[in-house]
Amino acid sequence: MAEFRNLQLTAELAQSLGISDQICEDALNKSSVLGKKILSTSSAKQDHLSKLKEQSADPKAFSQKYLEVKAKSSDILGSYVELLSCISDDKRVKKMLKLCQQEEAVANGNGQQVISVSTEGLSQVKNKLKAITKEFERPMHENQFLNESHGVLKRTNGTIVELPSFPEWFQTHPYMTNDFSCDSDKGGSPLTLVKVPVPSQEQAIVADLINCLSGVDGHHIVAVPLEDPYARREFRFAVGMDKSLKELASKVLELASLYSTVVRFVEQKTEFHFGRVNNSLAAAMDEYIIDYLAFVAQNESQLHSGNFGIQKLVFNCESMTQLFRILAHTSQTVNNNDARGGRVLTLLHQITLSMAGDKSARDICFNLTQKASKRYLESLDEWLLKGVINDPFDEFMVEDNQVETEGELSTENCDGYWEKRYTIRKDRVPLFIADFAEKILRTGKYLNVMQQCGKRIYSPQKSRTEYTLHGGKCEEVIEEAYQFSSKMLLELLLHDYDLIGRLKWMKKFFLLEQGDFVSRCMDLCDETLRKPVMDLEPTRLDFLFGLVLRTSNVDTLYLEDLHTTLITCSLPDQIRKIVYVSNTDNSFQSEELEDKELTGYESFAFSADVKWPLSLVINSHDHSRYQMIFRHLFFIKYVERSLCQVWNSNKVARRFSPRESPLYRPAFSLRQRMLNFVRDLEYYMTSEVIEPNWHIFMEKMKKVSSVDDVLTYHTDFIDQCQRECMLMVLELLQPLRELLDCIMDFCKFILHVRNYFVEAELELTESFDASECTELRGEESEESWTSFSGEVEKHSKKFHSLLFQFLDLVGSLERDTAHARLLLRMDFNSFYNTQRKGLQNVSELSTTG
Amino acid sequence: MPCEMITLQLGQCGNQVGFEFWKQLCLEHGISPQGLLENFATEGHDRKDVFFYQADDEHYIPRAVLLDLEPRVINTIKNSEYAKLYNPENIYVSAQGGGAGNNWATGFHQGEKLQEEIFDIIDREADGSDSLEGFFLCHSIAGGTGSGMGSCILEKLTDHFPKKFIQTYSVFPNLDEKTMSDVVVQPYNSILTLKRLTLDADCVVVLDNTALNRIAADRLHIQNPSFSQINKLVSTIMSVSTATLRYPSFMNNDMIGLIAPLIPTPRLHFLMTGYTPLTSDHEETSVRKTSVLDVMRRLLQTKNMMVSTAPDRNNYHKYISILNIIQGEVDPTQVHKSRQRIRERKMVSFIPWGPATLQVACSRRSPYLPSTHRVSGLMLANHTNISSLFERALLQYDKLRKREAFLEQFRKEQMFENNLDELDSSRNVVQELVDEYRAAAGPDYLNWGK
Repeated sequence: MAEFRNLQLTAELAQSLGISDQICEDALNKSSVLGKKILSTSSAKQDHLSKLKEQSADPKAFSQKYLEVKAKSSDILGSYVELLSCISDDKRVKKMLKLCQQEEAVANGNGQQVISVSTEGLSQVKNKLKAITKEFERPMHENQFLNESHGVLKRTNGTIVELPSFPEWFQTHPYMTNDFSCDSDKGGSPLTLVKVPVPSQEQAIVADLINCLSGVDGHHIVAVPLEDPYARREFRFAVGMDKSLKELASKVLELASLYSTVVRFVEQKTEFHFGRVNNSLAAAMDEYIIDYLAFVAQNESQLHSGNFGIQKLVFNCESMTQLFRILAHTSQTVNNNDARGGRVLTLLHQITLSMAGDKSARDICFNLTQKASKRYLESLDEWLLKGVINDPFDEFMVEDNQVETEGELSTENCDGYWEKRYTIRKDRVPLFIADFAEKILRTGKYLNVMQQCGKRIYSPQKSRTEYTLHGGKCEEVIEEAYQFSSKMLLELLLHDYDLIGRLKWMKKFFLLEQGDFVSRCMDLCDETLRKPVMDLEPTRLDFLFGLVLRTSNVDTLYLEDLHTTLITCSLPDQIRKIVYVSNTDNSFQSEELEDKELTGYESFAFSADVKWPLSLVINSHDHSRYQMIFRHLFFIKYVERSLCQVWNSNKVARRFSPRESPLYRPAFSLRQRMLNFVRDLEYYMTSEVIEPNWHIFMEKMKKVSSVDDVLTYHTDFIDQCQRECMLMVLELLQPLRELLDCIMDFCKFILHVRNYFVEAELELTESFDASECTELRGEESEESWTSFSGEVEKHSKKFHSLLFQFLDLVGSLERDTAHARLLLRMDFNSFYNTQRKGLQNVSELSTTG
Repeated sequence: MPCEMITLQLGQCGNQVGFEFWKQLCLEHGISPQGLLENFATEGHDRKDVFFYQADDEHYIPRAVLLDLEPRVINTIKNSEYAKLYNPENIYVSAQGGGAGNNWATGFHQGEKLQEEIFDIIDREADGSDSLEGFFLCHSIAGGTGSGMGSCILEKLTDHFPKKFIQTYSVFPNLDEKTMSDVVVQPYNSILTLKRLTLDADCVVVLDNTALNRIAADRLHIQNPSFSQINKLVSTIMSVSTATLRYPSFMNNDMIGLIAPLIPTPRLHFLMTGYTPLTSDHEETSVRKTSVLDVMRRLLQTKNMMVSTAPDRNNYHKYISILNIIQGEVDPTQVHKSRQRIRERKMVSFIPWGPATLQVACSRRSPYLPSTHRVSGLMLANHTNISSLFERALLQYDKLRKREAFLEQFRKEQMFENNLDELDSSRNVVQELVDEYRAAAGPDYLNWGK
């Protein structure tokens, strides 16, 4: 509603500048977007304003309009003025706007005639503008939370609440009001006073005035019907009324007019859909009205007892006028802003503060604010102490975004629960507690979570929030409630739900701390996991995993929550997707994905049933990050295992004759370098990334004081692990994967040729004479020998070139200390470094020579 | 669960070492001498199944096979409080009971004769384990049973279980001239055993009696250390070197994974060990500050090594690989800092022909054993200077062989009836080993021997 009003007002403002109002709406639309970006200082605003004034056709009208808009305290006015200023500066835009306006004028004027469009482009522009305007308007309609005609309340989250309504006769009886009942036909002209002597006039008029003060038309003074329900009440005097009397009467009528405003406000705001704050405010004002009516009655009785002149009446009214000025001002402010709920309280608070100089006025305002805020603060207390939102009229600062009905939360939809379920509506936060909004939100959220866990925890706290001028009391209460709920939930998570134990559990299985369990998994599932993931039967895997679980003697706590899953998207692709999601500018293109068939080993992952409320901490986002680290580690473990198999198969070479062993040494050495590399990678990820970060995490958890901190610390932990395990940056992961693939190729090669060369070799050693053997060996095996060495050489070259690339890449990122540690590990005895230097020297020599 | 290990204890030394080892394991896992789990140890997160299995009545039985040709040591075990711990079927003493007379050939020959019965036990034990990873063999290389029968069993074991991992804890004799043992044919025994260790074992942890005695005297201040005091040192080495299996963590949860990175080429598989800080029962332990760096630095000092290598004046010899197993309250960031410091100060020299790292595995410690030290560490290292030990053995062998001394006893056995070729071939293998180790210290090892 407030926005609509702004829209209308700004449109008027623009009109006086000579800009079509349709475009103006569009401009407003833009300006509200701009407004977020441009933070103009007040001096800049002043500049724009004066510039606009200069250019305006009618500077006076413009500034008047501007002040009017400003009075309604529109938030986006500043940026709008700026935009207008920009528009009027930009000649091109102005010209276009003018053209547009002209065209419209033509269209309006010659409705029957065929309109000759000056340019096609212009009509397009117009159409677009219209479309935008429409689009702009639609959500506004939807956002409108009051649907007055139906007496229902549409909440921002979409639910519709049936409001209790006043009985029908309320509407059908126009005299059910304390205000002037304005039947336009009846509200005719006052009875004439022509030729009535002044003293008689005074008597009649005093009686009339007293009538007017209680909201009834007099004989000679009649209220003018209102054009706008919020307008100031005017009166019409009888013809022939004495001038001095008129003057005095006007003074009294000011009070009547104020009374009218207040009464209208009270009667209107008592309706349910204005919310409880408005209702309370109306009730608070109503108390003053009762006093006021008593005051009117006193005057009337004085009148009847005689000796009561207009002077006396004017004098009597003075203090009451003072009071009603404040009431009327307050009600007008609320009306102008079309405020409800927290906003009303903010306005009241501001008014109270602005009355700093006038003690009695401030007391009145304070009283109003305190009474108006009573119900609101009760809701706040309920939220703070019970975690319940009691907000029948959609005015509370905390909003429940859950659409579906209450009940146990399933794992899927508690995702984002923490961030999304309850939110603060900034515009509804009363100013005097604005600083604690975040704390308030958390306090109730914590309690609410505990309720979701089936624990009814109510704070034993006695103190309640209360309106005070400087918020001190509220702060105390909020702080106390926050401490309580934070402590309770933390205790619930840590003790009842064994959060630390769970996190350790995650570390054990997802970060592979329970290494023996993982090797057991590999032992039993090896054959299945080697297959391409498409050919792999998940049921078979489930069966095998069940076997692993049954036969393992790992600490069985929560073991039933551990499951396996196959993720068909490769790890680099997973990261690619995440990267794309975070840069929303780029639309995700599936062609860019690797078109590689994954093996079971590459897609295997654990998954865990994390139940509410632990899923608050280990949410599905974090869970998938645990899985990413798991897959990475698991694959590296598999590579290490394969290398160990190669190592184990190499041991037969011990019995080879010393003549032959040198031929195998390049293969052994390559295997060892690969093994070193893989082990260093593993050591790095486990003992230099996971362990230290875990250590830090646990240290922080020892001192943790709120659940939000727990969430932050946990996210930090997993974030850090992911980054340092090189799972954030694709440019780093990609070469690493290539390197691992290269190692796997080598393992496959060795294990493949093993049988063939080992047997040949053993026969040779067993035969007595070595020289004889060489002869026996013949041409064929000689050839296979060279092909074996050649193959090893090929693998070796590929491995080293990939390794150097990788080390260079990591070296270039050395700012990160974690990566520096990796480098130190990989090349502890500077072997690769010297070798690379050697290579560089050689290449330099060759280029110069 | 993976990586179950069967321990074979051979001969007097092997059984004594084994006895201490099982004693240590029982203490660490909270298992009583009767094999029952102590009340305080019911909630352990350790893996007892690497070395024990549970009988029907839930009590723990070691996967141990005790073999000897004479009953003396085994009887001592049978009369100890740990008697009921072992599976009686796994204790095998030769019916003759005469021992091997400190003669390798006798031991080997008897081993061949008894192998069927022995392998019945081993096979039963292997079949009984869910996923056997390999064997530990405890023996000495000097005497008759451990060296001779040990060699025989080792050969057969490799053939019988070609894919299993075999690691020996081999006690090398005291070569200190003054305290040379009374076994005169020890040099022959050593060389013959060394050949089998070279060709048939996947990994040999060298426990050098000379060094053990020196350490007992220097570090523990025991002037005339008893067998059991020395064996305690050995059992510490054995238990710590398997700690990562028994207290699983991210890595090193199986023997091959633990050992493979240490052994680049198949024959260079003789590992030295070091342990710090050492304390003994009889003296008031002086508690000093132990930090990770402190422990890692001490481990690199030769005086803490359980192998007495010849002094290497030209710094010719190099480390091929190192693994430190650090136990205790370790701040993970400390490990990195220590490693960096060691690198900066150039405290280790590694082989020049490949990448080599000082690996550090942090392991948990038994919660049931009080420790006065915040941090303790074991080093497993493959160092080329171990060749000096073999050179010494060769030297002594050559001295005897030149004189053709004490060969009659050997000639009595089948293997040496016709000739002494086996002795020569063994010497060759050991010589090759020495040569290869020496070559590995140089830059050109990868092309060596071509």
